[in-house]
Parts: sequence; C-alpha cells; structure tokens
Amino acid sequence: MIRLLTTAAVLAGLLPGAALAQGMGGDPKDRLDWPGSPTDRYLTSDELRDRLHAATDGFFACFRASLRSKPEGGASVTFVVDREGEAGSIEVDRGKAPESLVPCVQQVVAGIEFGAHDGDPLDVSYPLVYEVDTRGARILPYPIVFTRPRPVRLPLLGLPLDVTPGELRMLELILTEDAPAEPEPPPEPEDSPAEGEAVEPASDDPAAEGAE
Amino acid sequence: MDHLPAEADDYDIGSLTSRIATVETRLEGRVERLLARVFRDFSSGLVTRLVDLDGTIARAGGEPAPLDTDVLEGKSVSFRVLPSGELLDSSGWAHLAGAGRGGDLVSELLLQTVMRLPRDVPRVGRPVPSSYRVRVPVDAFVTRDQNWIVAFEKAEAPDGCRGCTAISYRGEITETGKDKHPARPMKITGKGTVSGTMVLSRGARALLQHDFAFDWERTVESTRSNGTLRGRVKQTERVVGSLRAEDGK
Repeated sequence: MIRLLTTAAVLAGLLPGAALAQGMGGDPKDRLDWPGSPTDRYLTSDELRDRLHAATDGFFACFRASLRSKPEGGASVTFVVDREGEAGSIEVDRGKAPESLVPCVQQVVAGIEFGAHDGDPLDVSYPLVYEVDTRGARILPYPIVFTRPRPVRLPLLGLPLDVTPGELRMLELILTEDAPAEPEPPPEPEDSPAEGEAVEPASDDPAAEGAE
Repeated sequence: MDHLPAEADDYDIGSLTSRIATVETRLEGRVERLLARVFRDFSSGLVTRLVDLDGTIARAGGEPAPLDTDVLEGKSVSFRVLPSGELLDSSGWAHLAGAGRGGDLVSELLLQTVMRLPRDVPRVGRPVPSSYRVRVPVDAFVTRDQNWIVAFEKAEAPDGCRGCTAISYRGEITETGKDKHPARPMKITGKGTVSGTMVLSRGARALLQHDFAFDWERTVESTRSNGTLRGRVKQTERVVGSLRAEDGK
C-alpha cells in the first residue's frame, strides 16, 4: 500500500498542475464548439456578444452625441447576420432616446465584422442599456445577446429533403404531440346509481388509452 | 408506419405515406476539408464543408425531379480526429439536424470523410478485425451512438494507379439514439451493414478514393408523457456514396 501511494505521489508530482486541474475530460478549450474556437464555423451567441461588446465605444459615442438630459433607460437593436458575416435589416428600438440615435447605432452595427459562417442567417437582438449622469450618457455592455433558436423537428426520423410543412406537421401531430383525448361521456348505466354514489370508470376510458 | 396511435385516425395517412414512403435522393457536389487546428495531442480539427451541391429526388420509382439543396449548401461539420482516423469529437450536427434540413442525407458521407484505418496493413488472406464506437453529438437533446464491427482486407488497387494501396472493409453497425427533448420524446434503434473500399496513395500519403455502401434498418419510436409507446416507424435505407480526391491528390 505504501509503495502504491508513493508511486501515485511521484506520478502526481510529474504531472503539471494544469493537467490535474483539467480532469479526465481534458481542457474544455479543446472542445470543437468552445466559444471562439477557430475549429467551429458557426456563430454562437457568445461570439456575437464579444463582437458587440468590442463595439461598445461606438455605441457610447452615439449615446453621448444624442443624449444629454434624458433619464436612464433602454434601447435595443435587432439585426440579421448573413452567412458572409454582415449585419442587415438593422432596426433600432430607441425607447425614450431621440431619433438621432437610430442612424448612428445602425452605422455602428453595420460596421461590425461578425465573420463568415456556415449557419443560417442569424436573428439577433441586443439590448442597449444606458444611463445619463453629469458627464453625459454611458452605455453599459449588456451581458446577453438574444438569438432566435431554430426549431429542430423530428431529428431522429429520416425524411425527404423536400418534405412539406403540412406533411411534417401531420407527422408531428401523430407521433409527438400528446394531445389530450376528447373526453367521451360515460356510457349510460342500465341501473342509474343513486345521487352521490361513486361510478366505476369504464374499461375503455379514453384516459387509459395512453397505456397501450 | 408500423404502429400508429389512435390520434392518427384523424389524418389521411395514405397520402402521407405515398409521398414519403419510397424516396430516392441523389446528391452530387464537392466536399471541402480544411485543417483548422492542431490539438495538443496532435489530433486535427478538420472543418468539412459541403459545397456546389446538385441533387434529384424521385418518388416510388418515378422520374427524378430537381431537388433544392440550398439548405445544405455550405453547411459544415467539424471533426477532431487522430491521424489513424479515430474520431474523438465532432460538432456542427445541430445545424443539419431535423426534418427538411438534409442532415440524414449526408451524415454517413460526412462521417466517412474521416474513416478510420486499420491498426495494421491487411495482407492477402489475413483480414484485420476492428471494432469501435462512433458518437454523433447532434445537440443538447439528441445523441446517436454507433458500434462498428468491421474487418479490413487488402484489395486490388485500380489499374493504372501507381503506388496505390487499396483496403476494403465489411462489417455490421448497430445504432442507438435518443431525443430527450420533452416535446418530442423519441428513440431510435438501428442495425446495418457497411462495406467499402479505400484507395490510398503511398507516395502522397493521402486518400484518393473511398466508395462505400450502407444498408440500414431503423426503428423510430415515440413515447407518450407516461412512457408508453405512441408511434413506431420502421425505415429501410440504402446509402451509396463515393468520395474522390480532386486532381488525384
């Protein structure tokens, strides 16, 4: 036992501390989908957030130029990142901020390079939270970027590429949606029980249909 | 459709199955592969993209019609592989998964781009048996696991291919998968056979050609919220594919 412990201690001494800290799964940065990993050709919300945070100075300049005395509040910008990594359909919800903020924020977002990616065009919404004090407006980098997730439908079923929305919906309704069965009126008993007397449920009760 | 729930009575199952039951899809295109990263264990991070796709679809032996492949164009999957072809990790499947996305059409092809090699070079009459697992992490809810039991054999290199080595393989695959999404609780079990031939260039140390065929029998079952069977679909699929290196390199 002592020899075993000694061997373990020697081996532990040989291993660098970082390797021990990584655990059996290795360094999480070695994952292919680790945010910012160059191996992944898809944009994640983390990568979008990093690029938007890098543009905070631009947003700050817009707010400082447009706001002087408005109370603190919120605005947001929504846009679509196409596969070339360019932002389009940029719309600004300015909240209580003046109209002059809109073209400025649109220009900042249009200037961000998100990088070409292999995914579908990405709908993005980013809150622009600002506050105004004696030194002017300040923009607070928002920690979350909102993207619209794409619904994944029947991923285990092999289906033709040109399956129509109607066919797909029919398959989903048949296979996956636990729609409650229509309650049927209980069969009329031959001898009606007295009021308040319990009635045994019928054996073909639709509620028991699921247990097939 | 092997087992249908009572809810299916409300729908015209006949017209649905006539549209989706027997379908033959043909895809042609290019597979771009680029080395994106070398990991500390000398495994490679490879991005494999599908580009310049063209396809046709035919139903129940009918005439093939053009297939819109835009949804697949430019899609990629990243693989982390050892030099032997052993697949350590993959990502990007989520962008191909789901009905109407085409992932099921190309998943075998994409996995075959990183086909692993036998541990020894097979000699005539001395096949090299091998077994391994392949995990496809589709997304946070869906995973598919395959067990491969194959035997590699030495094969005849094509005529005129100087300095080439050919290895053929044949074997069986079993597959299990689960969709843990609460709105679509489903599971899949599959059994298939695989065969193929790889032609490698000894000089260029590269794969020149890889022809393969799969014959799958899969069963997809959906369950109700109380865990009982709701529906069962049995699918038979034959996948025939060929990968060829451009410019013979």
